[in-house]
Amino acid sequence: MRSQLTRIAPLLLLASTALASPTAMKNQAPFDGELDRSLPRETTYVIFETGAGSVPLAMQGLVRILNDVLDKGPSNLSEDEYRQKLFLLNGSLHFDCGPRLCSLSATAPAENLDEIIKLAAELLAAPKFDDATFADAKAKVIANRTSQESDMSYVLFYHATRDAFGYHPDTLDGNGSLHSLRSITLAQLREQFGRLYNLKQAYFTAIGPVPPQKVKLCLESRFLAGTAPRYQPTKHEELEVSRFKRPTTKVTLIERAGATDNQILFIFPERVKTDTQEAIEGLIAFEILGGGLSGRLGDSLRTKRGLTYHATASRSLQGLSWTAYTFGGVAQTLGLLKGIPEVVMSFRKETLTAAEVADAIEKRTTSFKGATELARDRLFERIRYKAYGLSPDFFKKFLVNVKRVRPAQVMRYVRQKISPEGGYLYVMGDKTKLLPILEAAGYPPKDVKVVEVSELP
Amino acid sequence: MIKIGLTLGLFGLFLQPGVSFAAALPKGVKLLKEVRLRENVTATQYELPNGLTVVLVPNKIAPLTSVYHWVKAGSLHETPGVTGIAHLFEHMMFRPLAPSEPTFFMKVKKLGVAANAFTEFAMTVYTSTVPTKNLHALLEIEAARFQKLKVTTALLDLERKAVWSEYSTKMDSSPRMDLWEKIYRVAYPNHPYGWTVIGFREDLEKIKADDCNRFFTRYYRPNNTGLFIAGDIDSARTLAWVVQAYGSWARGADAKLPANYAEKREYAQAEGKVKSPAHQMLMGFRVPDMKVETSAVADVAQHIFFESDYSLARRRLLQRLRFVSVISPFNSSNDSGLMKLYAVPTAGHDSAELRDEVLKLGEDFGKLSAAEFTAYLRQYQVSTAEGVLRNDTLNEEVARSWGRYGDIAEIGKALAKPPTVTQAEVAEFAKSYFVKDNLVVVSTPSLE
Repeated sequence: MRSQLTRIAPLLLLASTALASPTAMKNQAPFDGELDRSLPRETTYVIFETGAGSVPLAMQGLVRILNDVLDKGPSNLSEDEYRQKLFLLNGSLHFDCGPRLCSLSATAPAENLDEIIKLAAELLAAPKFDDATFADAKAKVIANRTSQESDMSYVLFYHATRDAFGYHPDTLDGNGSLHSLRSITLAQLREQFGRLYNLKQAYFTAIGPVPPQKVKLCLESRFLAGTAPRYQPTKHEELEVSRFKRPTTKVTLIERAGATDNQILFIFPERVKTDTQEAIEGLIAFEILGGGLSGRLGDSLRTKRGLTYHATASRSLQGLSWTAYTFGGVAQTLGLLKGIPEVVMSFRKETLTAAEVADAIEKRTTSFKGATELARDRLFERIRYKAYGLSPDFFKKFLVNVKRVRPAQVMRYVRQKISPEGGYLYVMGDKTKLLPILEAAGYPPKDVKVVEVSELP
Repeated sequence: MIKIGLTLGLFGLFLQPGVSFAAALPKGVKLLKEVRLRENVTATQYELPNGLTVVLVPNKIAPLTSVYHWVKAGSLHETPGVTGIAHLFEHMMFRPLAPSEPTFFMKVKKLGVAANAFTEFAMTVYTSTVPTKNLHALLEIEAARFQKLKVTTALLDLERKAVWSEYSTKMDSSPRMDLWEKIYRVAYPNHPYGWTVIGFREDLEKIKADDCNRFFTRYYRPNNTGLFIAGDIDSARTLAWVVQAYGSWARGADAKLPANYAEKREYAQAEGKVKSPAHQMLMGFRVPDMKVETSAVADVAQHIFFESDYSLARRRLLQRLRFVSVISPFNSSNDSGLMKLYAVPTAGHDSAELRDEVLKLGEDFGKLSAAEFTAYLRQYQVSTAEGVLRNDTLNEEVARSWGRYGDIAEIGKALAKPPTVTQAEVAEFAKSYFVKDNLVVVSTPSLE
């Protein structure tokens, strides 16, 4: 079994907070340690504040190859010796990257904590940068990426989120196209490793049964021995959402010959700063519009019309856009393409009742409590907040602030921020069937850009 | 996915039923068992006079309450001609009880409930997470749908379309899902496993409202159902609410699983129908249904051979031979009947090569030292404990312990210490089941 504890990819993909009760390491890097005796093992995360978004576009996917090379252990151990060592320590080491961060997580029972951190430091100091290891990792990542091409929703989201924002660094999650993966060289890997996994821009976190002070000392002795580089926080370029707004809808069809099912994704660029009361009002609005089967979209398109299994709308976690997503068979696609804008337009005209807003507040409160139940969840939120420069107060006061939301505020948000006009529409399916359906939905073929999966950048 | 199950009794894990609370039980309610899960968290199992199993897990640090209804009604309970009805019926449980009523989701909307459901081979499970202050109200709504649902033709036809959408998206477009469906069809041609949970497409069109109502009347009975409630609850008060809401639910006939598959064993291979740019394959070994007395060995074997980060399959195929870019266990916590391994071969390697290497994993097991075997057992316990940190995942594993192995004590044992399984027992299991004439291999068709 692969423990969830060591996996923080989802948060890295999503796009920061000042640390809850940080102390400083000897090089002034923050340290956020938390004692949680319910965990059988201690996990330390070294957070490097440069992510896949900083890797040149033509080299996207490089971090996946790099992390696979790192996964094979330090150069002074064969891969077998390395894995056997981890196995007997009941530990694990994982490397991961998102748009703004890369991370190294080290997990082991308390008695093996120093050993696992020592091994992590050795690995970071001398990875296996040889031709054979590189070729093997590259082949593996390419094979894996090729298999993902069969997943229509993966391909749709992969292309759409990048394309709608001009391949901005905040949309680059570390995955790359087959084109870019094939062109990556070992020399590029070495160079990018030095940039991405640089201790100058790393801070440290830990959670588990070991007292944080003890973990801190251990991390210092293994990673920052001697004259450690002074911590230099990284600044990230913010995405200017307004540049990507469109007065008319740009339609892109991703061809999948023979597909019997179509994928539909609307993206509407609309910046809402994530740590504001307005963002909370937006959460309530989207709960009512797109929250599962009781949301307007689910109720209309699935419950009442039986057009799809799933229809939802939500605001992206980074507050860059709002999206509506659904899928269905060829016979249902026209109804879905027309149905989403119709439901949204109708929603914009509604007068919401206090009771309905109160129901949505209750639901969001449940979601928030569920998503922050464990100390580990809260640590991940702090890491995300810090990466995106968000106020930690927002997180701490969320439950109080969500209760302050009133119908008039939600309706104002809906009318100002949720419009089905303009934006981007991405559909995926068989073009011979989809083009006539798009035309019937008001998107003539001359306005539809058809792309082949193999051509996607 | 969590592994649960041990063979030998571990003294001291079971608590004697609490005398003080037992004395205050509602009339007719039996206290059956108390099992320690972790520090300050104990699961207590009761049975109502109508046969409803109720398990309460007070957990003061949980922010919300998790409610699971585990109904022994899955695709294994279906009959030819109406395959897929268990899953279709699961969908209908979210529809209105009567045409004039709101849907389940509309009813629970004001309670801040997050709800879902899933159908498996042997059961259908309904899950809800609710603020504890609204638990009473939720239980009343839940109890009503479990007792009074009436499927109408109009609502069924509407929901059927949504299931078509699910069918089309999963089975016609996803190579993985297609392989999953195919492997059961090939491995179990004359057994309900063969039509998998989704059922035969042609049957889905033919199922009538009466079929659904008969299925509901036959299987949705208190004696076939476990109700699991974990969170910041007051046990006495919660139990009283349960008795009030579910006490009048009439007992029915017990659900029975079809006989275990006992056909002659035979190696089989086949191709799926959904093409993929990368070759993908699924291998499965037929295994007997889990029972308390055999589950521990099977679970440990699965952990060591297929599931651990350091599984023998990963070591041989991914790390040593580099024949695959991906190798992982497949849906192992949900499916029964087959232990499955999903793989994406790297260029130049095919299904036959992978199959032959998988059949050598028994040799690798034979070379494990005692220290390595012990490390696997310790790892197994830690991964189980790390998988139940959340209140709802803990509740699910308590429910799974009851539903799959028939005893909530299994999860208590698995959390308390490493399994007491011997290397010889696992070797014997592998020798019996991880062999070619018990193997089924399916792969994606070539693109040409």
